[in-house]
Amino acid sequence: MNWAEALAWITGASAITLSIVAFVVKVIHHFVLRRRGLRRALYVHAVGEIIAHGAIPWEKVSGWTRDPVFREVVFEYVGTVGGKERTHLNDLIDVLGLREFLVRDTRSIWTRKRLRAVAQLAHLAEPALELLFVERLRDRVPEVRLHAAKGLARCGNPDVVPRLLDMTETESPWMVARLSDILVAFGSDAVPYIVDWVREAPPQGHRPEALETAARTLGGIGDRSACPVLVELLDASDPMVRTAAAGALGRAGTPDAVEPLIDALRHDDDWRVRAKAASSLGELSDPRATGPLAEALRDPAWRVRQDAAAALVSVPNGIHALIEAVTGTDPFARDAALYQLGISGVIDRARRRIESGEDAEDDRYLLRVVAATEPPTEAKAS
Amino acid sequence: MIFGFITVAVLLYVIAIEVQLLAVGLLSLRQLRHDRYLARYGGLDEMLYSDTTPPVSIIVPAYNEEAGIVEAVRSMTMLRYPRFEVVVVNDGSKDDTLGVLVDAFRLIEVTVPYRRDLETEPIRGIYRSTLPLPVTVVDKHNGGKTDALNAGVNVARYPYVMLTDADVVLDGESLLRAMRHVVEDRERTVAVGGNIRPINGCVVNRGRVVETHLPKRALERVQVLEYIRSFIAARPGWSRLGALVLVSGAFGIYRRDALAEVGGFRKGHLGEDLDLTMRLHRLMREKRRPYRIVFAADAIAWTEVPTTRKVLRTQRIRWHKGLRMVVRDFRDVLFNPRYGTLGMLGWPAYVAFEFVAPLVEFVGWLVIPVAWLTGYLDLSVAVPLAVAAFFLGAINSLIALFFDEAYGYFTSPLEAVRLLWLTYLENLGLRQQTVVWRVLAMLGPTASSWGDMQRRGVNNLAS
Repeated sequence: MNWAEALAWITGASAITLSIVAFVVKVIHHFVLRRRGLRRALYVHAVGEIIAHGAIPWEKVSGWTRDPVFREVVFEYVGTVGGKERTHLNDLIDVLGLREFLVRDTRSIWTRKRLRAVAQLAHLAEPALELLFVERLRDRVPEVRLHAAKGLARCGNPDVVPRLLDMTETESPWMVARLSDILVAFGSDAVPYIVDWVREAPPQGHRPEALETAARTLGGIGDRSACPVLVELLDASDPMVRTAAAGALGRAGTPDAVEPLIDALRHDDDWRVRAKAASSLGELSDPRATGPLAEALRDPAWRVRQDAAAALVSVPNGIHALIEAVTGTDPFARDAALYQLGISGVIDRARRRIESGEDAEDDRYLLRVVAATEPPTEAKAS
Repeated sequence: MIFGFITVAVLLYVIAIEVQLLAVGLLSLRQLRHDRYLARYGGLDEMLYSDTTPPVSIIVPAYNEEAGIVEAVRSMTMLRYPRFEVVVVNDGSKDDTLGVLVDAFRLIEVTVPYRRDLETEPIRGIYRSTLPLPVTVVDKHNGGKTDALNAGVNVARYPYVMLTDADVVLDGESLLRAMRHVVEDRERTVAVGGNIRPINGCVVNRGRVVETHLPKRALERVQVLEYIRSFIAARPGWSRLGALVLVSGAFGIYRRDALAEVGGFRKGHLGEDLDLTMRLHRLMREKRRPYRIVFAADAIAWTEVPTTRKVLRTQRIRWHKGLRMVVRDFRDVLFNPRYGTLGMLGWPAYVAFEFVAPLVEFVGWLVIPVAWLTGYLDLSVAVPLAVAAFFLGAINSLIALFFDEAYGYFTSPLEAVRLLWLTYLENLGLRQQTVVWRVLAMLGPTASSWGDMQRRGVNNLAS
């Protein structure tokens, strides 16, 4: 046998072996999936019956505890039922020792086992598990840390908020985004802790991404007691922190925030901060913002002009300012105003009113202005 | 002497291909496992309720798509994603594409200026749905697919745009899964490619693939295998290396500002998606900006593949002509260390094993009869080598099928047998005809039309 023949034999034998293995794997996979589906259906039905009636057929269910599909089903129910059914479900978890079983698994060397256990325990939201979750915040696997943080949020004790904020100093952008959502879930109780955390910065200062997350979280919670600290963050050196603070003030701002936001809209070097300031001024609907927003229609950045135009729809006399901008000489302001009047439906509503004979003088004026305006010639986006 | 040299050269070439496939395959496997793990435990669902999830404009170019456009757009509006809009660009259709959209989504014409970052044919009108659906339709003069896509990018309101086709059926979570990569690294991610699978043979209900089956015809089944090899066994690996060359036109997400900066699609380019991906690489490298272009294997989009030899031939010739244009335009990237892994690994491998491979195989077919006629062919070596080549082709497909097992498609024993049989059958003529078409594309003129693909509509694909 020469080398070419040997090669042919090797490749041929490998291909045929692989084909047989692939077939066996596919068939096994097929039956495993089917069996898993059937088991799942059985458990969903059985657990549903148990929690509805409160009777636990111990001899039947005791053997199921070790099946991950069963545990998955039980903890899916935890997230969906309440009242008496939840009490029955807790009884089932107690009787079967599922909690202890999972607590043991949280220290397993196998990542998947540990992860599954922490994720399922997180559903229980029991204060007794807080220490375990805090311990798992130091896990080497990010997803375990994520589920531990979720568990803490569900327990609802805001004392852990600074700990979670500390995590944002070191975690990846994905984790930071998820942590921000988790922190929002604490609600207003978390606000004093976040405010203190922002103000009590370590000597080297907080990482900009962490401060940005804190600001975004305060915006997500929307509690007005956060307004002063958000106003302070408008002076941060990092533009992303200022952007997040400006955006958060739209939801968490008070009338005291209007002047600082106007200042940011007029003077901030970064267009993202100016754009967010414009949007937030729109959300606050304060009459003091109308003039500065109308000025911002001439901002060099496309986004700022668009956001200022959008904000003008919400502030007193804003529509009037938009119509004036359409008749003005500045092409950028005209285009931004026209765009906003278009997408907010003002032009189309005026047209329909004229068609149905219910028009006012303003409608005819607006359509005359629009008709006399050249099609928009928007320049490159900033 | 010359035949000996050719034999050694071809052998070395085959060894290089196999080493590359194996190395990239192993990386792909790692990536697929990681993706699967993250999909299960990575907190993907929370993206649905998060303020940190960026909104996306889905752009769908449509030309004479009256038959299936409503169903396609409706399925897109049902995607699991917190904030998005669907922008359909009617590219001067000769049929009633616009009319069916107006009726189905109760569209009204609106006065909406738009950014003109990219040059396109004039827009005749913009329509918005009066139903609570985020649907916008742009009606414009005909300018071709790339022109329609550019118009869609101009009208898009959100910072990320997803470019897709009117015949594509998206999995419910595909956008969410793809955008996970953006949220992971928003600063650097400029493009995300999705995983394309043939829809032929599958059962579609209400704009969703509900059962996956192999198509009935061998021609279509071979394409299923080709897509699995490309999208499952290769791209995740290249993505992990940071050397992804192609984000498919059927499912690509781009940062809008990057797309505008690079000038959008080049009008009339035959390999428009490959060209765009390479230009994005070039822009980012030249501006020395940190960036990444990634592949999301778990973000699945289903598309109809050609059912007749004639259409498949046109498609493959067009693809290879497009590749030829891109290879010519980006020859400076080859082995250019400034382009990192792309210049030193990804692009050279793509050129050597995608672009040149058909020519090498074709030359091999020519050399064998010549060598035989001149008495230089040693049958004791040539025949076993041909057998080995045949089995190697099957092995490559079999490995890809193992990777694909993670998705759990085609698991019934009968379909498993059909699929495995196909790994051998493919190398007995079907692959060779593709080689001939690709060689024709390499040697023929560059100018070519897109050709017409007869669509059956997504609900009639199981037949």
